[in-house]
Amino acid sequence: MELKIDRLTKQYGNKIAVDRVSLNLTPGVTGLLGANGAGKTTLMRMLCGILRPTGGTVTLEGMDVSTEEYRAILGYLPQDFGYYPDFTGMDFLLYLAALKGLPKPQAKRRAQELLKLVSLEHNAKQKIKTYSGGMKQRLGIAQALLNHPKLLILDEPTAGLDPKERVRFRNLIAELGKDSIVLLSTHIVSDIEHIADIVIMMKDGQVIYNGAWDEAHGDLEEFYLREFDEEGLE
Amino acid sequence: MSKFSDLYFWELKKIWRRRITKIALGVMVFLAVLSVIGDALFYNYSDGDNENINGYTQIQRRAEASRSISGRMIDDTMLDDMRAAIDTSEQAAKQYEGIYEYLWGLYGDDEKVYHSDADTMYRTRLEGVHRLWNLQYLTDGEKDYWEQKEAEISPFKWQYAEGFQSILVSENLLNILLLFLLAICLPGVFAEEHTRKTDQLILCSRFGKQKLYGAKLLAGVSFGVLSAVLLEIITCVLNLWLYGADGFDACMQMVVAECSWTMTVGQAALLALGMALVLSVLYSVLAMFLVKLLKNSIAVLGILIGGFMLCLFVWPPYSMQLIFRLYALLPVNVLVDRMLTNDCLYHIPGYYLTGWQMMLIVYAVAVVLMAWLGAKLYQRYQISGR
Repeated sequence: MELKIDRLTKQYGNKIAVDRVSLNLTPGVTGLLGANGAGKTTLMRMLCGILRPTGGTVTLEGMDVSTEEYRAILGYLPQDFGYYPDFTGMDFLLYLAALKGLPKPQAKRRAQELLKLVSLEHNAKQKIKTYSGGMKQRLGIAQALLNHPKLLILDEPTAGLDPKERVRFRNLIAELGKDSIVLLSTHIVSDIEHIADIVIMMKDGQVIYNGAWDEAHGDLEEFYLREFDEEGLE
Repeated sequence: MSKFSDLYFWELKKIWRRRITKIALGVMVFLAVLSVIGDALFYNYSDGDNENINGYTQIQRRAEASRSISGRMIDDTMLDDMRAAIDTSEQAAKQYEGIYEYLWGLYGDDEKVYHSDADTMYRTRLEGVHRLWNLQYLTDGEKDYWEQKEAEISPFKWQYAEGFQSILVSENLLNILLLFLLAICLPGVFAEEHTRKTDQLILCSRFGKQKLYGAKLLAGVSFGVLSAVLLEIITCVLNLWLYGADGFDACMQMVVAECSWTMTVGQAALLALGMALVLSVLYSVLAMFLVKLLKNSIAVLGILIGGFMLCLFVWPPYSMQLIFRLYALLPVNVLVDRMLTNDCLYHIPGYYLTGWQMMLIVYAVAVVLMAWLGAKLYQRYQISGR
């Protein structure tokens, strides 16, 4: 299984947000690093089919990003994850399961399974508006996993989680990477260091590093700060 | 299909769960009830013996009096009886109150009403009809069409039909209540996904791009139709309970003298109910289409209600025939009093269509067009700039 990204470009007026990015992603965790405005979120949105590229293509096993088949095996957690405040956690997952095409009995089973996985089983019947930030983030992770995605795109999944939860989810993501293509964007370099098989760094819409990161390359955080020194000092 | 029905029921649930839906529906139901029973509850009348009676008793007494002459042909004998009753006592004249008011509407003069005979009455009515046709700049073809209808009408019977008449009048308010309700409740079907940022999750899900649009649209239309049915049932049941279900077969000319329709009052009431259901579909699709276009539910609310109010006070001159005919097709003109007195026809080779027949065609086309354009807008939408 391979996600092929070929000269993917997004231009807003004179500004090029993503500039001819070409990548081949295979099962495993791929970490995406970059300062704010580097083009990470734009790239991820194009990979999810919710933002049309100015140029280039995205295909997974020959399926174009715009097809229903592609979306059927996609899981996505956006950076600013939206929810319905009056829905309970369980209802929210069941609604998204219906959108993802899961049959009802399977949807209920899967929702219960995931609520347990993200430690929300006791809050399943509470309205989401009563959840804390961390609980909402965990619910967001759960919804992304509903359809056993073969391609999982996570935009800052550990933001808002406490350190213990962060480590737990980091391990969960690493586990998911065994069978699926996981693209993980974060500002937390240590998360990438621990679980990413491949590291991609973006700057000004372009990929400036793409490959495995080992000790021979030195400290990833230092490299990251050096590359993005202006942003790193902020 | 089961996937579609799952999505459809979820979308219905989402509409119903919003607090604004429950509040708006509650207010509209309250206003619908009040509009029918307000007179019976809050008005007091004083009869000839200076006895104070409440609105409900007054309505029942009036109905009882009118029923005693219901079914009689309006001819010289009846008008002679009316004069005799007026001369006898106020109490005796009560049963002729309805026909007296009808004649007063034709002549606008008590003396003429008192001395009227049947020939003069029918002639005066017909003169009024012809005056209206000329005022509306009807073509010869249109006049011929209505002349044929007129030939089927006179002479007619006096029938008590207050219940169905009141249903017709209630349709005016229902049209407005329905627009307000749907303009408040339905834009959220699509707008909520943008304001809550759930659109990103939806659009990247398997059924989020095609099937969900259909499910949302159908859920919105279902809510609109169910709301219309609820409001209709309330007003019909209350009107028929309060005024009685007599007079389904009464001729329309007893309600609007210049009307040339050959329908009965009951049939016209059924037509008005049907038109309200059609409008509920139109308003639902329009509200959801506009929110796809503007991405702002407040703007949609403003456009729908502001537009309706503006049209309520604007009436283009009849002399601008094409503009008037197009204007007459707007939903605001489904208001019963406007629809019943508009004799302009729409000429399709071989046929003449009346206003409401043309409205059905235009609304059906508009609904299909807006649903199709809405689907295009929905599928083209992209998440950017957040």
